[in-house]
Amino acid sequence: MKKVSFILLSLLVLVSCTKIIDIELNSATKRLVIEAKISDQSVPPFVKLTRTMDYFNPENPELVSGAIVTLRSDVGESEVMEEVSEGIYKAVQIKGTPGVTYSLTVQDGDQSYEADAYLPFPVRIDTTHHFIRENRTPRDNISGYMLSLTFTDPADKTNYYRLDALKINIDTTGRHQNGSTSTVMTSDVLYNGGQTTNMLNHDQAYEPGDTVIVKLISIDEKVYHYFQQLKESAGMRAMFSSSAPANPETNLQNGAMGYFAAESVDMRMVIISDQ
Amino acid sequence: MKRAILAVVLLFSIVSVWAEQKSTLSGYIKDAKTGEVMISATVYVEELEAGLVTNQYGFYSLTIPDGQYTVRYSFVGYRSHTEQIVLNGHKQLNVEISPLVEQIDQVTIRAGGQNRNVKSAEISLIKLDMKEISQVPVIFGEKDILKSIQLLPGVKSAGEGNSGYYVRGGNADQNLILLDEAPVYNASHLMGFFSVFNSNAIKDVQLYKGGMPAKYGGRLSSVLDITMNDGNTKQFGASGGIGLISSNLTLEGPIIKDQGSFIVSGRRTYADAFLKFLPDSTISNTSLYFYDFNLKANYRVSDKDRIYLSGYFGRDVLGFKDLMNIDWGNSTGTIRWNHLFGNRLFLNSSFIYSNYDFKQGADFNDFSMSMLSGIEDYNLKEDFQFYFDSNNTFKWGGNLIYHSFMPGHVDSDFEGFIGTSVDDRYAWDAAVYLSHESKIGSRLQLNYGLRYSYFQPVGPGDYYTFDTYGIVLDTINYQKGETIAQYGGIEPRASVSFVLSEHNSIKASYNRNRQYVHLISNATSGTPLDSWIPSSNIVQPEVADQFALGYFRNFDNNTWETSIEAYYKNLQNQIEYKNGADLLSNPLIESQLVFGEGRSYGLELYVKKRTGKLTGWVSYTLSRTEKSFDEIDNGAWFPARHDRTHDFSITGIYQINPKMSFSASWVYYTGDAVTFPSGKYFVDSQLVNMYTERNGYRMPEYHRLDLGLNLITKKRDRYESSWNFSIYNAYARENAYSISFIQSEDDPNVTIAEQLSLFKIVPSVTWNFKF
Repeated sequence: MKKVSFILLSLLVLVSCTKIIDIELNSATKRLVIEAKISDQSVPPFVKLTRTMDYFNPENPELVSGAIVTLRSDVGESEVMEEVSEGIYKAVQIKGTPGVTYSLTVQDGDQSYEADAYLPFPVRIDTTHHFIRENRTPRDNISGYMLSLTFTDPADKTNYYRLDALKINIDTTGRHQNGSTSTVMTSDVLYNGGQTTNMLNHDQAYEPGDTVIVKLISIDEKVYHYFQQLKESAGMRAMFSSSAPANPETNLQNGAMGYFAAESVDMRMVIISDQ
Repeated sequence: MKRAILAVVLLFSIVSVWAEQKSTLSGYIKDAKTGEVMISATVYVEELEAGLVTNQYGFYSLTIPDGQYTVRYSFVGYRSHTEQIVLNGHKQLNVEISPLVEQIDQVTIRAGGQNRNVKSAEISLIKLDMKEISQVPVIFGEKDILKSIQLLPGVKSAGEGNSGYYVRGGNADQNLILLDEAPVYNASHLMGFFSVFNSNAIKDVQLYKGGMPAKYGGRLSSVLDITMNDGNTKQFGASGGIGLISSNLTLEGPIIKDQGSFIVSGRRTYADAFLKFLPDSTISNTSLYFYDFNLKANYRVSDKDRIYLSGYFGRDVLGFKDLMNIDWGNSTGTIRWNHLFGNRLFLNSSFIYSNYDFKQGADFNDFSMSMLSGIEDYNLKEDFQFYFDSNNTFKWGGNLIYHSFMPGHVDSDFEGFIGTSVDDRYAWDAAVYLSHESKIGSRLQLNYGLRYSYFQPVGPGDYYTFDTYGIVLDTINYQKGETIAQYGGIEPRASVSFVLSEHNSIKASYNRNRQYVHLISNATSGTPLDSWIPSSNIVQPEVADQFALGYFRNFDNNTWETSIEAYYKNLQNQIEYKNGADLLSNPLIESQLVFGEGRSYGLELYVKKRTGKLTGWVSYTLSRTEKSFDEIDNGAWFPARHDRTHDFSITGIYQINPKMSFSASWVYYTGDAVTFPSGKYFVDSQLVNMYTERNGYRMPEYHRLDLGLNLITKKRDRYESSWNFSIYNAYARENAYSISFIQSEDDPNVTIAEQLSLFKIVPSVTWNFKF
């Protein structure tokens, strides 16, 4: 349904013109950006630290070195994460376990930041399905295969999901590279305990032969809201939305940007075939 | 509150009974040419220096001591009519007055009522002259009352070419819009570029920015009361216009001469005709148009009874090949019965129907989808007017509305589709009021009243409570007719004028308004997907209190009208959307809202030249509108999006000769308050904007010049042909519609600001005819 307003707005854009303008924006105090993830997969817990910068600054983001990053769990584990390269920190002992709540502390100079995240029990993918969709509306030049994912939601509690579809590009030398990712955020508020099907790729279509990694990621409520708002704040929707743009609400305390996510993941590889 | 009621009772009792023999002079004032009844025409008794104006149905009733009088009937733009009357018993007198033939060097006709703007207690009231509107240049050459009112102080445009408006810091949904007493829920066509009001079918427009009489209620900020033409009771006629983007045709005539008449007016746009020329086939196969019909009929059953039937039906249609079809629109219908008890008590009973709906159907390859949303009202209304004597008029009445809200039914045969239908909502909405218009001595005029409103959302349906994240804590299921919540309260209204001299006066007003229905808007400009929701267990009624003070002065024998008004408005239980709110057909829409307060204050200046070769007006508003929500910036006051510090416009119409007039208008306003990023960072390699405060930035200032030329090419007794040429945005200013911040395609580290402008320069031509 959101398409309708896009289409109306697209028609509006037809009579309009755009130009690049110079605009003066305030220079806000730099803030720490934390991207932290722990999952039930074999990938070790990982933290990346950077800083925010002026909006029109074209440089690479500044990596933050020398911070003290501590990971703890409610089952008594504790570990100071090692800085493996500039701004990148890894844990070697702690492994993500479903049902455990983890807390992260980042000490950056005299500032300290904290966050808690619960690692939910994994939910399994039932099936995936792909079908042809044709180009049908103006400004919607997507033509090709759409991919959907079906899973059964456990009825006992409220669940929050992030669905990722990662397209794998194979370059001329035959090497695999990560391509574009489509993300869908969904919670079982409307379908608790039922089987549900979600279309994964709203903004791009696949071609026969494409390889797509499909992930059903279970996360906790706060992390869900962070990614939900992050997704909303990007894209065309935000441009015309009546709700003013704002920073996504994060589980990090003390004014840091970013997130600390604890994820349980079920993955499938799909090769798009002719139909 | 008790004290207020006591004061009212006391004031009513002051109206004492005279021993002197009194009689009533009553009747209707009509246009001699068309037989249309005249609204707000003046009846003035010279000997008594007393008078009043006709009501919405052209009725007047004056109870004065028996005697011999000179009574003058007048209306702006009409030749006044004087009657010598010997009153020694009740007398009914229907009077017809003739429009002035357009004369250039006409002598200003001095008539009682020319300084009504000074003398009446009405403050913050705008009356539109439909003839004047037809000469003001507008976009696409389509004259539009909602765009014309934006040129007046205290009224702000919702944006480029938009018919939406904000009054004194209020939101767009805080304007009550009545078409022949029926509320219109979505007053725009085509994304707001046109209003639903076809100017050819409209007789009278009044906008209350404050000091609303007690008979109006339901919205916080303003009342726009629109009356349709009744139709010519003398002879059949047709008029119309053919323009580049739309055409219209109006037919009218008597049902039985001087007993009843009808009018039918239709309009259709063909904007999509131009899309056919575009090379992109997906766009050229798009259909996009709107049409609307206004119908009205009236019949005089007896001297004391008259029946009116009026209706509006309009739809917008948007389609893509055979794949998708969307249509939306309003329909309203009003049945009214005027009855006169004796010759002083006038009763109007109305049954009103209002409906707005949005329908969408889409056919995909292997599944289809449909959506339906809307609002429907049934409204029963009784309004009494009692003309006690020439100094006192009492009005009372009440109404009862049953609302049905359909926030959105989504259906699909797609495999595994989860219906996201939002439960329908139902509510009772009732009000009673009593008001008194009183002249005390020759200097003081007082209008005051009380309104009590009541709102009761009822079942069936599921209602929820939420945690701070908007997650459902509890669901309560209500049976059909079961009460969910009850709200109500007193709304005092008062306005007073103190006449300092023939030419100047001071006025003041206070009003409290309550609003029980709220618009959830999905975009900054109105879209058909906007939906109305009722007050519920979560959404509280909005409340506004407004104080206004004004000084009015006319110059040069009422050729110049000037006024200065100051206002302060306090708003409670205002609604905002949560950060990243999901508003479209969300069954838990109330979880996406936050509630807070608002305030607005300002100064409005208005200068108008009413007569002469050059007429026109200048308006300027200096104002501030702020909001505060606990959830946003920790409750700090921030400027509302439509907080525009300066808002200026000048409109001029120059009558070159009887057949040609030139017009121009220029508008300027401070840019809207917006939220821009003050920094950026990357998360999972994706650019994210960092924001520091709500609405801390400003859009660039807006200004625009429009020009128009009206040319009468043929004018016979029964036939007239004219041309209208207009240029919108004559100096092609690229006004910013939106500014977006995007990543450069070449280098993801480079961010740029891109401005979108809509209409650079829009010329248009319309041919109009009348016979």
